[in-house]
Amino acid sequence: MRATVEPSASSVEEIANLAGVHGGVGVRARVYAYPSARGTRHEIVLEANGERAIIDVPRGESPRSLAERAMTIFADSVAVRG
Amino acid sequence: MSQPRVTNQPQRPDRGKELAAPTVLVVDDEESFHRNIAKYLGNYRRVNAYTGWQALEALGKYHVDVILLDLNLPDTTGFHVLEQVRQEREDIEVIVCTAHSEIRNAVEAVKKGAFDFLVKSYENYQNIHEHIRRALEYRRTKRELIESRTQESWLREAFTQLENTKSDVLALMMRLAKRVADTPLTVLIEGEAGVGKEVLARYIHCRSSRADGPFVTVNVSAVPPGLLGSYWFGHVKGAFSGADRMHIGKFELADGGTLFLDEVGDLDPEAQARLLRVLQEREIERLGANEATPVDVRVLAATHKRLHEEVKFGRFREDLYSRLNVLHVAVPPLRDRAEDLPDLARLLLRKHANRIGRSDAPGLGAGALDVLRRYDWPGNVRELENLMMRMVALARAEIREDDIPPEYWLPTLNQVADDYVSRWPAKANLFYLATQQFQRYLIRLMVARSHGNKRLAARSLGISYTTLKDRLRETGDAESDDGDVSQIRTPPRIAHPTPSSGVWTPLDLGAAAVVGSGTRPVVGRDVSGEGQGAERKLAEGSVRRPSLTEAERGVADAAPPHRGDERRDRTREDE
Repeated sequence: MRATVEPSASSVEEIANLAGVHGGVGVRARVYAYPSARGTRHEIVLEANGERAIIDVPRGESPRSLAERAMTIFADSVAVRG
Repeated sequence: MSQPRVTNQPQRPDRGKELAAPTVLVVDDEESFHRNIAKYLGNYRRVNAYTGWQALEALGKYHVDVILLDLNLPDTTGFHVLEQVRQEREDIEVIVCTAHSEIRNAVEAVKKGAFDFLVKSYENYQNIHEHIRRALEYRRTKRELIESRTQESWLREAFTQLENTKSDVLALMMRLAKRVADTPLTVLIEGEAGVGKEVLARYIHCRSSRADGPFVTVNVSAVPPGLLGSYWFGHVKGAFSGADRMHIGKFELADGGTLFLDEVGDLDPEAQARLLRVLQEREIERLGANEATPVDVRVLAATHKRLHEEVKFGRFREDLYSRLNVLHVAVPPLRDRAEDLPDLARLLLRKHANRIGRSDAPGLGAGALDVLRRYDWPGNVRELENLMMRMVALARAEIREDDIPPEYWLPTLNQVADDYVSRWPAKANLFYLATQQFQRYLIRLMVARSHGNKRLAARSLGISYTTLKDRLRETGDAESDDGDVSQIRTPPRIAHPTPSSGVWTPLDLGAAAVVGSGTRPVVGRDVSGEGQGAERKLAEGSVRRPSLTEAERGVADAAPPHRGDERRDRTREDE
């Protein structure tokens, strides 16, 4: 998995934008931060081969490292689905 | 008073209740105790015993749930009876009820395995119902514990079997499942009913860091929509009329563990919105509560539907689908992983043999396995499990092909039907000929196997005696004298021409369904090689040739091409 980190745009919500290729499948992950009653909650949006998945990051979990792990798994899952 | 007496038996119309009501064996030598306790036992079925010997006899004779046991008995002591009960029966709870209230008696009774120790007093008599209820509750918990231990060991074996699957598709899925297990990612497991989606979900849970937490299963389609809020999120006391105590919902029960949402494709739109909110916010609101409760739950979902199609048709929310479908695992149906079938069948045999206390699971004969391999298993692993359960009940050392119920043989017939239909696509009366001939063959075979006893044959076939006689008459197989059935012999094997020689050779039962002596014109001139299919399948072993008895084989070899020859053969044999 080769992932490049693109600096986030000025939007306060998007905190990371990762892209990479895994197993021949291009995959992109965007990490968003939302304000909520119990502090900030994070959401990862994964995209590969036209498929999309959303991960609501559990509290205490690092959104960035979860996004990196999720990208490879998601790419494999999409590859299997064909 | 030489026999234990059963009292308080409900009347006939309440037979169901009688079976459902727990039975209490009251063991005491004083008639007054029996009279007094009877007043307070309510609906429990009661068996009275006046001596230790009677008590032990009653245990062999009646289904007993709880024993009320006196310590002073005319022929032995209550402790001795207690020891005997504990040695032989784990499923009965014993409440010692005595006038001797010394502490040492209580200690000894509990040490010997009594559930409770009561002193004979009116207060205790009045509460006896509650004591028995608690004993029954304790027994239920004990059983659940044993069940869950059995379940755990079976699951470990099932996981090993999954990991060592010989199916390439499943192996790929298992690799993905293994990788995703120790992440908080949601997984959507798709597959036909009975493929083992829950086992896979448990596998993911057990391989995750949440393995020590609870695994809570919710069958979404089984929850009425009106109750879903309370069922998932719980309610506080007084939230609605009838909410007389606080109830904890499934999400909270799964806190720190995994929530498995089975049949998630059946969620209605309102429930989908509620689930989406929980997944996003990671908090729930009990009905009637003023504030939300945070929950730490990993969600695994399963469905037999194609969820992306449900999304396409607008029946399932896309945003929820995107959240559930981070990892998509499609469990292949059993027919697509036939290579796993032998190991799976043996595993299930072991599971059910253990469950009924058999130390050795029955083996699976090669013939039986061959039948199982040919079946297409529409009910998947669940159907295989049901069959294996039935096989264990046969209590054989090895399961033979004859033990497999007839419905599992049907694919053989299907193959033969395919073969013949492809050979004679334009034969207008093929259906009639096929069904008639098969019925005829089957009836005659069964009559012969029943040694000419037509009533027995009809019973074995599941048809009435009149129907059997009518069929025999229609096909000209009935003999003149109803009582004399000795003339009906094993039907001849139906002949089939080999392509090379045109010689008639016996064909299997399935082929007999379609061609036969009574339908000679259909195949009688088939020497052109058109009938190669069935023979080819026989040669390849894909169509089974049933084993023949020596008598059957003798007739089979002389299988006639039409009824006239057949009758001549019979006469020859009779001579």
